[in-house]
Amino acid sequence: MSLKNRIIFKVKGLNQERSFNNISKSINVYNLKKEENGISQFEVDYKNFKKTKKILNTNGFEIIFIKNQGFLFKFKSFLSRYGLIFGLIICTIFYILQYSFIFQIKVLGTPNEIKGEIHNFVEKNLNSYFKCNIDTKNIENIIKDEFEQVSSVSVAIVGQTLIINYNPSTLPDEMKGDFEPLVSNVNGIITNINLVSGTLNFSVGDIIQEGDILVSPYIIDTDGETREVMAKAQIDVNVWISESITHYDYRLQTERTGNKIVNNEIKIGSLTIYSYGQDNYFKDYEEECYTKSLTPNFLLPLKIERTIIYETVTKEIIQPFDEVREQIIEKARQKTLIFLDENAIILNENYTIKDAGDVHKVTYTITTSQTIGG
Amino acid sequence: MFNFFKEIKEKGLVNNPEFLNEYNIVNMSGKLLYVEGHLGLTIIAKDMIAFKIKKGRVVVEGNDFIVKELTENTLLIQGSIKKTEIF
Repeated sequence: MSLKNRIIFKVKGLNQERSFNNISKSINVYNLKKEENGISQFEVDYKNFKKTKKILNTNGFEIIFIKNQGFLFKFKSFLSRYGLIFGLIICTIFYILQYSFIFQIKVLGTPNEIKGEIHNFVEKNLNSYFKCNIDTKNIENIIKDEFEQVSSVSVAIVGQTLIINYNPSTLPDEMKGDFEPLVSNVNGIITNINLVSGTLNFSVGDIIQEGDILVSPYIIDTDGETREVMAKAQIDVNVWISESITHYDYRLQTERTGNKIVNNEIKIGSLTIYSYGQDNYFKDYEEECYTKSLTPNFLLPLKIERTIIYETVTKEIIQPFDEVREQIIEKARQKTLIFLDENAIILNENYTIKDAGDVHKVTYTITTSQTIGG
Repeated sequence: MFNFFKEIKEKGLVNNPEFLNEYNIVNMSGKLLYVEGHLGLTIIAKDMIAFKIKKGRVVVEGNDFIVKELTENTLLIQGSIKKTEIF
């Protein structure tokens, strides 16, 4: 299809040369072909159509046909196809309407772990999918408020996609997370402090107790403002671990002989329906009693109550402290060692003995080093 | 603008250059004939096209002639050009 818009004339007449000479004085003639029987075909520009037609009529030509050629005429013919035009209008209206809505939400940025969370959060908080009702600034603000990991976020509508682009938080590690103080979990004396962040409440040589706040989770910056930070420090503490054992020179000790009597009672609720066993003939004894349900439901609360009576004997023990002194001290040491951490370094060990008549109290103390924080 | 005919005329050894301003005819490989300065067509046929020039007439013979372009003083003929005669 030629893009030039021309009119093709097919004419019949006499003395055509003269007529074409007349036409060509003011109009450019193209593709002039002479056919049989005085018939000629030629083209003129669309703008010269009326002028050419007038000259042809003046010169007594018979116009066999007039044909349009070029893009403009093709386009003109297209305008008369109403069904097609209607379809196009409907499509255009539909396109404009659907273009007013967003169809998807795209989340870009790092860290990747929160992408899905942000997507769901925005989807949940989106009032409308109509572009005009979407407040991108508001979405940015709520994302920043909701997600601590996000330092900056931009929300934009591109085509029919809501694009959320976020950047990770640039806060240093010590300024993120829960701002809890560093609390002592031991009793002891501070030997060394290596403060990372926060405000220190003790110094080397101070005695601390369990529960003392060693480092507070804030700092005061150069502007005098208090800013929350993670309380982080490595504090070495000499810890004293003490345990005691009391020894009596004279004491009475009750022991089981090994003899026992077992009595059983089968009950419904508190009503005894059957019992068997022996009478208690022990002079000194201890009792142990326990109950067991015989049925797995509450419809018939059948249970068995068993009582075991152990025979006992009381002995008089006379054991002077001096004879067992070393064993008692060692026993106190072993009791203290239980509370030491695995691989703990023992710095010092000592013990004290307090005597009060027949009663002797041995207190064993182990000094070890522990690190709080780190 | 480069004027092809003027350049050729300057190369020619003609005492009176005014004489060369009447018409120009260029035959391109016997397929196209370009004419400047014609004074009107006298014959248009499939095998012959004739036109007037100042003080004469030109007859072009051949086959399948089409006047590709016709303006007041230019003419472009397409076809198989056998002979061009000036009378």
